[in-house]
Amino acid sequence: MKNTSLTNPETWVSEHGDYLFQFAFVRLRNRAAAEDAVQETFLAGIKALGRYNGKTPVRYWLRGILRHKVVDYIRKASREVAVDETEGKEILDSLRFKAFGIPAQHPPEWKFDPKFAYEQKEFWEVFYSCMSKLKDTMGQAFTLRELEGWSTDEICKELNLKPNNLWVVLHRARTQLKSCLEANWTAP
Amino acid sequence: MIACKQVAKALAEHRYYELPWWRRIPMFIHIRLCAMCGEYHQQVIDMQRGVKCYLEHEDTGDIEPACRLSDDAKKRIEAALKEQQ
Repeated sequence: MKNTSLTNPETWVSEHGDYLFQFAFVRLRNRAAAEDAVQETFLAGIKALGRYNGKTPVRYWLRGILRHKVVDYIRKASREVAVDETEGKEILDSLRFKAFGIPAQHPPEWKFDPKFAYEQKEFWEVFYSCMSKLKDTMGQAFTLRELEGWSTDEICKELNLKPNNLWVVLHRARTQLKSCLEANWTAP
Repeated sequence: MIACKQVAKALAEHRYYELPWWRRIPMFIHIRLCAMCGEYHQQVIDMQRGVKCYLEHEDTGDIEPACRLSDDAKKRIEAALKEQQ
């Protein structure tokens, strides 16, 4: 039995569509995939409406369904995109470790003060935009590790990555995110 | 003593506080003694704090990014929902 007294699916698209799309887009970085995930979420929500008890706001209940859809998409995409084995070596070279694993140079300093930036509302729009630009395996690994809190083993299994490659992929994602933030954020 | 490369690998791959104590102690000593790893560690922490703050803002829905569901997608989804109901 569908429980429409607690929420009306006819208003879902106008009330929660944009929010859920933004949630999916920053994780999938693909407009078509994010739109499909939102549509599938709403359809799954209608089917599961009988189990919705109103304890959680409907937006978060739908977001819980969407989270699973997003992971399904990442899983599917990771099977379709082969991991470039040479990438790991290139990143390792870019870190410029000398003999015995000692780095040759200091990591480049932040070009802005992150503590101050995190207090600015406008900063999060830039942060969102930069996270949305992380592509392919790098974006998928960053999403699962940082946004979804998955363990190293789980990510390696799902993305078909070797543990030795994951850390370089995550390092590269952070470096790219940092560069993008520095290029696009101007402190007020 | 562990090498800088091992510290960078561990920091990139895991959250520092999630590491078991027998990996955290030598790392802690290394980070305190090595300026370069100390800076790298701080940058990783700054980034992780940024993601945590972002997730809090995402929860409250007070971020207004430029990207939204397109009108076409809204119409298509509404049509699919009507059909399903």
